[in-house]
Amino acid sequence: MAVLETHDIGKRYGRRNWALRHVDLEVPDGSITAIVGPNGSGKSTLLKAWVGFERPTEGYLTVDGIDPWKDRGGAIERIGYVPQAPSLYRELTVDEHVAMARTLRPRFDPSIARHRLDDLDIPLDARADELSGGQQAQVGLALALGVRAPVLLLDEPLASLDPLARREFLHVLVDAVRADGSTALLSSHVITDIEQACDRLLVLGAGRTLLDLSIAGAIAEHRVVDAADVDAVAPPPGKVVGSFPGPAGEKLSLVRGDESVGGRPATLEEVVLGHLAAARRPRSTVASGGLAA
Amino acid sequence: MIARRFEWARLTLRLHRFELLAFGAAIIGLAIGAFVASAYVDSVRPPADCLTANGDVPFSCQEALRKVEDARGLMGLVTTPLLLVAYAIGLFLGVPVIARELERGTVRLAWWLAPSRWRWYLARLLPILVILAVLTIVAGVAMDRMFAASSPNVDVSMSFDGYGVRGGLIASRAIFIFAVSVLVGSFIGRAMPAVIIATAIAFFGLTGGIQIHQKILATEAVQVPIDPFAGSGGKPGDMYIDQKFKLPDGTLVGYEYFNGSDPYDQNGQPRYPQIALVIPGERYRFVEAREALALAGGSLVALLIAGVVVARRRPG
Repeated sequence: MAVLETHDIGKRYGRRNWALRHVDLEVPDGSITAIVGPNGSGKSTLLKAWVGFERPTEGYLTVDGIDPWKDRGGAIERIGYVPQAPSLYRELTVDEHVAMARTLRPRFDPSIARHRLDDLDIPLDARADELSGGQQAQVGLALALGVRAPVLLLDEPLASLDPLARREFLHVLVDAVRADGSTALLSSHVITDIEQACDRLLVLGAGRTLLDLSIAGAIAEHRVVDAADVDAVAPPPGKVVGSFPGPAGEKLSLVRGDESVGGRPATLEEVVLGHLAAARRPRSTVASGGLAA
Repeated sequence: MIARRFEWARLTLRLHRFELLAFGAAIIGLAIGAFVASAYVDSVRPPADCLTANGDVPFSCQEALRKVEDARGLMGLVTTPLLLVAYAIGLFLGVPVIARELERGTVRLAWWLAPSRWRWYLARLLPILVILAVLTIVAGVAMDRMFAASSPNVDVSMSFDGYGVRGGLIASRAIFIFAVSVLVGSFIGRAMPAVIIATAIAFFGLTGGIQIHQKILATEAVQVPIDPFAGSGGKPGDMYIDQKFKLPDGTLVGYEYFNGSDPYDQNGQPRYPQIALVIPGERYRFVEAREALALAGGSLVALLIAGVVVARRRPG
């Protein structure tokens, strides 16, 4: 069952700038799904649309069956959200943020938030502007977990964190989601974080869904061949997803298929890079559309 | 338990702590200054025969009257700042309610937490509005007190002298400025531009409203004959609206009626009886309450529109 769904949604800014177009996707209940894509691919727009911050220009989306634009309150009650910037009130202490969350959200459980902050040694009496970026992100996550919502939406919360802070953040996230049985959708650029924390991968590019698979499935279904060898390997038509530069500058191609297409197994990063590279080409030359599980 | 129940109000006041402390201290300080100055004026008030002295001031009164003038000068030091602060507080408390939160991005946190943005909006608005009302009522009472001290023979509740710069109208106008500031802030989402635009809109809104009120008052004015020798009509405390000539058929005409010819005879007396149009001082409370009610209505509309904007807008 899908707890987050979009139905042919599009979001246009101005008269012709489409951030999202014809996006159909489902996020299964209980999963931790990573949403990946280049800047401007519509990740944040999509997450904000679920929170009711952005209204789709076309199509509709739902949170646990509720359209946020028809019943924003109902949708928000099912969501915990961590925005891209922590957005804390610099005048307030951490504990006052917890108190504020309780006044705004009837189901908010302050003890959950305080317990998580205590575990991370984040002082409750510290003002928000005295905290490091990592601590602010953790406060944002603690508030999101404190609402005890079935869905967690995290909009690049790791972007400004150092590696240790990112690791701690993801550790808290995964523990909480697994313990509560909730569903999380994590937007991120950092592939290693995704492999560590997520079980599904959703790649957005050029405003549309490029890939929607389990992490294991995404790795298993792709191989990487040296672009120079593609002709020699001669994969079946439509199997080459896209080409991208390798670590040494060599040109690699991501190919859809099993061992029979040659090459070597793809890493998750290569899967993402291949699909993002494909999205950069004019749409008519993309080998095939999105791949959905 | 009670503290927990009003936690939302405490947090809102904490978010606006700087403005509240600064403007609150200013108004309370100036109001105390006003009461002290008024008490001083009362204490140096000369005997009644000095106040009624016409022309030559008896030597015995000169020192007393000098003290009164000094005391009035002291009140003058308080009057203008008190009025300015009372109006400025509406502006500087109103703009941050929404604009500063949009500017700093804190609405992204608050609005995903709050299933009802209206509830969030009211939680932000009401504590500030209550404090604003209390502070500006204090300012209005202080101005009333100073007016009473400087005009001891006038019943301030039945006099239009100082209309608009004392009493409840100060609070009503400050709340109107506050509401306009909240509304402009909700649209613009940035504090400094909102301050500038709200200042302009509130200024034109208030002056436009005063013009309209003057037109309404003109239709309600009563005619009071002007004594051609005393040269005035109405009693002290009446609001002067206009002065007209009354033709034999009862029509009221202005100077333009005479089309360049002299409306006065060779003795300097008017060719037709002159009347003053005034609002009697007894109607002060009614007129004041009506303007306050109109301002309250305008404020309510502005705040409701701001609420609709909050409920519908993107957090930026």
